Parts: sequence; C-alpha cells; structure tokens
Amino acid sequence: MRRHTLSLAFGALFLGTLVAQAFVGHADFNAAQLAHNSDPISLWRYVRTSEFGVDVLENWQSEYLQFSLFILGTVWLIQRGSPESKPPGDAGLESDEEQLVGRHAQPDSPSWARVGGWRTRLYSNSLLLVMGAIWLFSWLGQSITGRVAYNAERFDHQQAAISYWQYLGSPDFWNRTLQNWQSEFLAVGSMAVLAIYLRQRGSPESKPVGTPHSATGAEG
Amino acid sequence: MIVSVGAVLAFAGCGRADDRRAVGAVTERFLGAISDGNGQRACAQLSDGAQQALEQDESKPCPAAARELDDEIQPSTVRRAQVFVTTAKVDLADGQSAFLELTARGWRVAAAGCRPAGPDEPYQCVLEA
Repeated sequence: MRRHTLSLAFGALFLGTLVAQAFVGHADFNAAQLAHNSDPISLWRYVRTSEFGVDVLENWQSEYLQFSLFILGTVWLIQRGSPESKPPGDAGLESDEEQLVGRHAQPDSPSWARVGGWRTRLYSNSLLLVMGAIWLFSWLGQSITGRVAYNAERFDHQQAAISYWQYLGSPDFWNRTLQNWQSEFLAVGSMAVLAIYLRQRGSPESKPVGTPHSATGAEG
Repeated sequence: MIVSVGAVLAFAGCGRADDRRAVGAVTERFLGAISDGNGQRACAQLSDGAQQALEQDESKPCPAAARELDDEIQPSTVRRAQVFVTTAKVDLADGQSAFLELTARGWRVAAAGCRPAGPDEPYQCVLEA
C-alpha cells in the first residue's frame, strides 16, 4: 500500500470532492429553483440530471485535454531550464535504443515493447491514445449534457429547444469549453516556466534544489 | 474513466420516457378540464406560479378564472413532448404549446396557450407564471 500512496491519495481526493460537489451543486440548483418560484428537488434526482453531469464532464474533458496536449507537446517542444522538458537537442520520438524497444528491450520490459510490429507501435503511443480518447469521450458527454441543461433554461423562459448541432455552435457550449481550456493551458505553461526558477525539495516535478536554472529535464 | 462518463450520461437519460408520458398526460388533463368548464380540475394541473398569475390577471379565484380560458385555449392532442431536467414543453396538434415544470406535486403546467413569436424569441402565452 505504501507504494501506491500517490494514486490512493488522489483517488480519495477525487471521490471526496466529487461528493462535495454533488452536495453544493444540489444546494446551488435548489437556490435557483426557489429564486424562480419553483420547487426544490432531491439530491438523488439532482445527481441524475444533466445539470450535475455537465458540471462534472466539462471539467473532466479539459483535464484530459491538458494532459493529452502536454504528453504530445513534450515530445517535440523544448523549454530550456524546465524539469518538464527534455534537454535541447532531444526533441522527437528518440531512438529504439533510448526507448528500450525491440531488440533493445530489457528482461523486465513490457512484452509489447519487445515484440515489434503494430503492437509495439500501438503500445508506444498508448498513453496519448487513451488520454486522448478519454478527453474526446468526456467532451462528447459535456456536449450532450450541456445541451440538456441549456434547453432546460430555454424552456424556463418559454423559448424553443435547440438541436444538438445547434448547441455545438452555441456560445454556451464554447463558453463552458474555453473557460476550462484557458485555465488548463495557463497551469501547464506556468508550471513549465516557474519550475525553471523555483524548487520543491523531494518532488520529481521539481529540479533538485541546488540544480542550476539552466539545467533542463532534471528531476528531484 | 470511459465507463464513468457513460454512467453519467446514462444517469442523465434515466426516466425521460416516463417524464414525457407524464407531461403529456398533465397537459391533456388541463386542456380537457378547460374544455369541460371544470375550473377546479384545471387549476390542479397548474404550477403555483401559474395559478397566482392567473388570479392576479383576472382578479378572481383560479377556478373561476380558469373557466374563462376556453375562448383562448382549445382542446387538442399531444404531438410531441420534450423534457429537459425539471422543465418540459408539449407541442399540440393545433400549433399551440404548453410549458411545464416539475413541482413537489409532480409535473404542472407553467404556461399554456403558447405560440412562437419569432426566431429564438420567447413564446407568447395566454397564461404564464
């Protein structure tokens, strides 16, 4: 268990904050209901609504986009001095020897790293593929639940509902999407730059405390 | 993760068919009560806000005010019902629409005798909360 404290801790934080979001989201929804002279709904009903769904999924999709782009970007893009970057000159997919694939695989390398062919090609890109798929699927989910929540608001004002395709072009969909994207990109960009000059002793996300600012790719 | 996304979507879609049937039934009961001159039964299908609005507009109790709606709201059949979260819209065969909301008493009519006013504009309704 001590070897899995990172995933366990963040798993617990995720579940705890998701439950807390359900409670405060429910309270916020019912406050709006009362302000519109409507009746409140139960917590169980609320967590099965698209109001809750879109609030969850719009955040999930932006997080997975952030990591997908970061994984992809760090293959080719360089930030001198950042522990998040490869050293200048190492941009690209690197050699089979450096990546321990095929005949360069170690005895304890994953089998698909050794076997070659489509399996090694697939496995070599599996992290980006899965993270990207989760992003696309959760963005799809955001669009579906977001349309439902948006149309509920339109009905509240005696306006006709809009179709899914109309919703994809709507300011509501893109407002939800872009407000999340901007914060994700800001976080990644600022992490890449701040970690050039600042340190956190003991974290692999930081360079060792005494490492020069110019050192790139060093981890603590 | 993908399973979790699917679960959220499935949850959000649960029970919508039941809600569509319910809003259609409430709307037909309301229209039938108006047509029959049964003001009490018509008011029972209205949301609290719609009842209050009707009483204020007509300066009389809801059942009496509802009996006079038959000039402007005619009986018709449900052509389509749409439900989104706690709101719904029922389109009728004669071109009218009704908007409903989910209350503690179930689905209730919040606006009736509604017709489209223009692209993306709110419908013009004979009765609305």
